[in-house]
Amino acid sequence: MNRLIATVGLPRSLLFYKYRVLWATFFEQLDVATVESPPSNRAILERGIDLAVDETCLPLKMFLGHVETLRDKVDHILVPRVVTLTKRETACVKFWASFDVARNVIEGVDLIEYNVDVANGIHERDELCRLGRRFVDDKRRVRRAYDVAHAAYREHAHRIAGEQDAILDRPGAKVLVVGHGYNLHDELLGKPLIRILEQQGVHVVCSELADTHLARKLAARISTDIPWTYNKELLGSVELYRERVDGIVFLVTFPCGPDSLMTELCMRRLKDVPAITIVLDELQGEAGLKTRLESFVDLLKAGKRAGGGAA
Amino acid sequence: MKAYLGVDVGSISTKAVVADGDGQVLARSYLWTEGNPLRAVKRVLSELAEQVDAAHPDARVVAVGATGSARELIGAVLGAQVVKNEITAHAVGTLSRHADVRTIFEIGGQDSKIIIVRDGVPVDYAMNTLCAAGTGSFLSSQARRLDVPVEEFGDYALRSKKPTKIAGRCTVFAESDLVHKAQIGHPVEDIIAGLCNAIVGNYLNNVGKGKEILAPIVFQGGVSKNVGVVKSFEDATGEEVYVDDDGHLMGALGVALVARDEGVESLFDFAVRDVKFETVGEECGGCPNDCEVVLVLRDGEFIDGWGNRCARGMERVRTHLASSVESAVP
Repeated sequence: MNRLIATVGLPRSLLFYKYRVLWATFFEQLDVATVESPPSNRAILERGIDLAVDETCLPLKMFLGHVETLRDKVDHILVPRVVTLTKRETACVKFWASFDVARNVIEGVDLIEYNVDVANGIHERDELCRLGRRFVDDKRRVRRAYDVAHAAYREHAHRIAGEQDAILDRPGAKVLVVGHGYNLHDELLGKPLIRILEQQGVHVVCSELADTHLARKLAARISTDIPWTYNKELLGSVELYRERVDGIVFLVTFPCGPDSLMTELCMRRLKDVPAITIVLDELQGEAGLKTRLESFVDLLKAGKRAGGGAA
Repeated sequence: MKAYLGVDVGSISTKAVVADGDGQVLARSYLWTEGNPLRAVKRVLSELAEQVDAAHPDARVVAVGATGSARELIGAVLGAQVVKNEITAHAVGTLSRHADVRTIFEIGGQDSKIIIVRDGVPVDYAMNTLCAAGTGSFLSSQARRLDVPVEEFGDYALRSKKPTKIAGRCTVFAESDLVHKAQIGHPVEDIIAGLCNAIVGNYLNNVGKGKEILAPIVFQGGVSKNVGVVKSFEDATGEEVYVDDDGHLMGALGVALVARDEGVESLFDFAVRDVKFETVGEECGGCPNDCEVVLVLRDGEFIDGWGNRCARGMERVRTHLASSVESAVP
């Protein structure tokens, strides 16, 4: 017998890369099926560009394309509204706005949301449970579902951090790629960059997958002036890994304000590790990308030969 | 005598050298790419073959390197042992001539870069992004506007006593600023000197931003032939800026030396210039990415291809090609 009571679409973009396990486990516990949009491709991006205002940032355009892709395939589409995750920090405004933007530009889809605004006393657990009760009218069961989902999410994060550590212990050149998960792991944005680096024979460590609690504490060693939570985590990962890698690549999508501030800050303060910034935009060709990454890797290898270790 | 061929096919010009084992240039060629890298390479090969035959008939080319934006295509056509990005190639080439260099400025037709070298090892570099301001194309578009041949820019600039201030941040704004300055009576040599200062200011503020620029400085790329820009660089850095007569060949020389050091040798035959090469471009259509796949054919036979994001793309296009061969290059 099919026990599934509804299907919820998860757009493969933005916070999906952070909370995929949390969401999938939570709905699974409630017998709600989840459907993920396919990995990004040119057509999804084109659809997003058509839907978005020109000045919108590239990841948000990609997000709109993914939401549109799920239309007619699911009963609901989940888009959280994340404003603050701690008392004194904030999330980038696109996470405040993505739900409302999608609701206003994409017709004929039923978007469902949960809010996180810790500074104003609105917490993930209460909000996801409120959402869960739309599907299952049983407070205790929903709360249990959340606890299971959250535990799975934490376990997943720790496993990833462990995998990162294993990469760092390998011999050979290692490069830390710093960027948001929705950029790094996107099939069209970050994946080609990571593939080029791997073709050059270096091990790639990703910033997003770091142990986030530790990373946030470490961020303060580089700067206490970054107000955006997710960027703080990236900054922390730089501090966490920089002595164990041979170089750092900052992956930024145009025209991200928080990322450009963070990147500039790192470039000025981290003089002991070679670093480059790669800015992706919607018109990106792979040719320039390859030249930049190849020469960066050549430089790291030359430094390794000359100095014996991280240049 | 063993010799090494290096070919640097850029967006604007194609450069090639034959060098001996010590990095001495035995033959050199430099001409416009004219949007057709295959033809340009055949022409440089003809020139090199003539020079080698005349002056060094005992030279045998045993390794080939390709660099520049058409490096993959040309590498495939020449069967190159090494296909290297132009930044590494330039650094290696320059270091072979100026072992003590610590900063390399390079301004080409469409891009500009800076390479920082310490103790003979490149340690940092930067390239222009998303914008052609501060490159050779900026100067040539302003030259057209002023109706002064770009080759004469340097001499004009040196005659100027009071360079005009030109807003050089953006080619479009620079042009309107330049027109305005001309309309209110600034002499043309002052405007040209101002343009040279603008390109240097732009370069140092963008590409050179945050980099520690230490002497000795070597300046290369097409724009280094402009004495006005060289002088502006010297004024701005307070250091002497060296321009090598062979500065434009450093990428080609560098990649020839990388090929030498690769240690894989096979005899290269200049007769390859008489072989018919074609490229075929096609959109794969296998998935929504619609990759533009390029295939290189030697006498109709597939030798290499790229542009596909996955292995399926190459197979699809090759299979399709087998059923309908059509050439994209005259």
